[in-house]
Amino acid sequence: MIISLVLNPYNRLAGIRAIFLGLIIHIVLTSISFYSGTHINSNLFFKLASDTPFWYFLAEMSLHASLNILGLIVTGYLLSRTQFRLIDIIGTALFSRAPLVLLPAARLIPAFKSFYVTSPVIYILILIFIVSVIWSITLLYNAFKISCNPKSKFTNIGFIAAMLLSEGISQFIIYQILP
Amino acid sequence: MKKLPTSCPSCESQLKVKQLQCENCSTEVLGLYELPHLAVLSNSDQMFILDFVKASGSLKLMAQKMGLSYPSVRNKLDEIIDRLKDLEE
Repeated sequence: MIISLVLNPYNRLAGIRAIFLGLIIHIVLTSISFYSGTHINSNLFFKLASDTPFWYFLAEMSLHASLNILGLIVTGYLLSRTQFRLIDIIGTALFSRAPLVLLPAARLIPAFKSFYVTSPVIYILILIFIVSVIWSITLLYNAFKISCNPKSKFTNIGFIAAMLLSEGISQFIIYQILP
Repeated sequence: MKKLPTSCPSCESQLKVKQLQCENCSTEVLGLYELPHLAVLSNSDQMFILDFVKASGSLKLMAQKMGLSYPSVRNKLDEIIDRLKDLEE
């Protein structure tokens, strides 16, 4: 029951409520990332740099989240036979980013804030990042399954393709176009 | 309440109606009739359809009543639609 709630709360949570909670999570995630100097703009890696203005954190995180959601919407239209609501996929996908708060929150602890590159602290941070990303992607996959109800045999491939494509485009925009 | 058996306990094929009886005058009708598609669905599916009709076909009301999210209820409805389509084929 608890595992089901932690990995798939979308049997009970969707729609406007999920969008509202998702937006709060997005703002909290962006704020904590800014204060801790932790850039979570990818599902594959993170960056530590505190000399960046708040708008940049907001822009890169919003861009990454938006492209992930857009990828799922397009894949949903391609693979789903049912009519799904955009508010469900947007809300549940935004909420799925909640576990990403773990790493920037951990970085608020002084021992994780500044350290030598050779310190074992970096391995702990990497471990926290891996756990949070796996948790977040599991939530995102369940959000996609519940919101779009895809019945195609290409569901898993479609989800992975959407994630990789949105990842590539967001990284291109963040590192090539954003100042 | 007794549950109407819809599949054979021996080979699991779908059962048909052979005999009907009037409770008032005991007239009996013999024949071989297909069960209506709705009767073949599981009890929970039949209850869902009854509740759905009572809720005027509103998935939102159904979601509130069942304590589930809107897409979960819609997915349940999709499952029942798929089962009914299979039965029609």
